[in-house]
Amino acid sequence: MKNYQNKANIVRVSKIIRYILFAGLVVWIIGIPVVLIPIVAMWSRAVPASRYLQCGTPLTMAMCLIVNLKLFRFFDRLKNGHLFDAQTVGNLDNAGRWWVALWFFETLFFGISHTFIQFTNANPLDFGSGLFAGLTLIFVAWLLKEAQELQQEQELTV
Amino acid sequence: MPIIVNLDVVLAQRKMRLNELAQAVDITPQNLSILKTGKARAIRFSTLEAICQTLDCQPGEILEFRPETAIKKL
Repeated sequence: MKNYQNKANIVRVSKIIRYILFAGLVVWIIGIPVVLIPIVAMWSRAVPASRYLQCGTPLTMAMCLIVNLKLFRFFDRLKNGHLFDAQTVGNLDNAGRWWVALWFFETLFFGISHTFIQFTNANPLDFGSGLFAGLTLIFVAWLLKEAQELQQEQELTV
Repeated sequence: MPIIVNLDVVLAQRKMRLNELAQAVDITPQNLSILKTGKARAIRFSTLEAICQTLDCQPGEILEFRPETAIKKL
């Protein structure tokens, strides 16, 4: 049956993406202390501008970890066959919102650093890709919510 | 919801239990319970036909339309 074959393909691909995201989670979980420990060790010897810049990295990494975690949970639920239920859609929506928050944080952080300490990490080719990615996820979650209601309607058809 | 399902009334009149009807029309008791309790969003014609055939009744005996203003008055 074409319907079930499509679902089986979705589950299979979700399994692969889940593994990749799991690897990403491990990287962030190991990376945050690796970055944080030298910052803490050098804190007393660092100048205020340097402290400010150093604070940004672990905070950015923490937010990246949250986005990664939400996407991992989304694909984990897809892997288990829960395509259109509230939790699955919620995970994708949350991932999008955290990605937008990450973009907002980075823009604000580097905006301040550029203004006050003449440091910029801005990529001239980055026109808000994080914002676009986050908003896309939120929009797709919105579509999935509609699909969720259609599925619920179908389940309540006798 | 303006459509009221009177399946329990017809079942009582025919002295039949929900499980027996479910078996006769080839629907799970859970699905039939969804219909009986008014939680169903839609009913297929094939299901309605099977129920009416088994209970020897008309669709109008099982389904009743009551406008929402009338329900509020009740």
